[in-house]
Amino acid sequence: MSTLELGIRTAVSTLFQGRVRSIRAEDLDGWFGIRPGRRDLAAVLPAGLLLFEDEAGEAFVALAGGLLDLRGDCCRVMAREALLARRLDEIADRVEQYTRVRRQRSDAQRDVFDDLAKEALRRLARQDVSR
Amino acid sequence: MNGDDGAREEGYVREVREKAERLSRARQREGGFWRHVAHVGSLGFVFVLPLVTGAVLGHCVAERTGRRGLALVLLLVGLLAGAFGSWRLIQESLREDGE
Repeated sequence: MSTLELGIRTAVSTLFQGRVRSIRAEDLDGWFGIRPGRRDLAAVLPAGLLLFEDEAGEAFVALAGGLLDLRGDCCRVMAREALLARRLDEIADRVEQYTRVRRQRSDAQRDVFDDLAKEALRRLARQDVSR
Repeated sequence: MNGDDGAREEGYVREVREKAERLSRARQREGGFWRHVAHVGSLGFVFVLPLVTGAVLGHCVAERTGRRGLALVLLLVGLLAGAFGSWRLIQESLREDGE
């Protein structure tokens, strides 16, 4: 059976790279399918799901918006955020968990920067007083 | 993280959850051939049963009372009941498909 080469990348990592039998994605007009031999296409993907089928079975990718570019048998997906799950009922929970953890990390980093800024101001104030 | 990022992330989570649920529901509805057979069968049953009941009842009443017009009236009542039942079944089915 003929296959396609699929690559799903975010700004920081490659989420998936491998041969797949079929892809299903959604653009602003609705769902469309990609199988080997399809005409080249480019599509803007809104936040949502992309499905593909490979040797391991069906997979679900949660995308936070992105671009899909199909040329020959090579399909590239570039997304702002992307998460992969092998079961449909776990994809939404994974996205929620991921965004929650990221928000906590972001808050923690902001606290560190706030502390550093306060410390810097305190030192500057102390230097002014000593002069 | 600023407000825009927070709103975008919330939108991302909401979109993925909604689409996953919609896909899951659509897959549950894809019961295949037998589901459609059952649906068509129930539609026919809902239409024919009141019609036949009305016709039989009308015939019996007409035999006992000797008024032939009653058979026609009860047949029409059965026909209307069957049509109404079928219409409701189709409406329910369309509503389920729309969700």
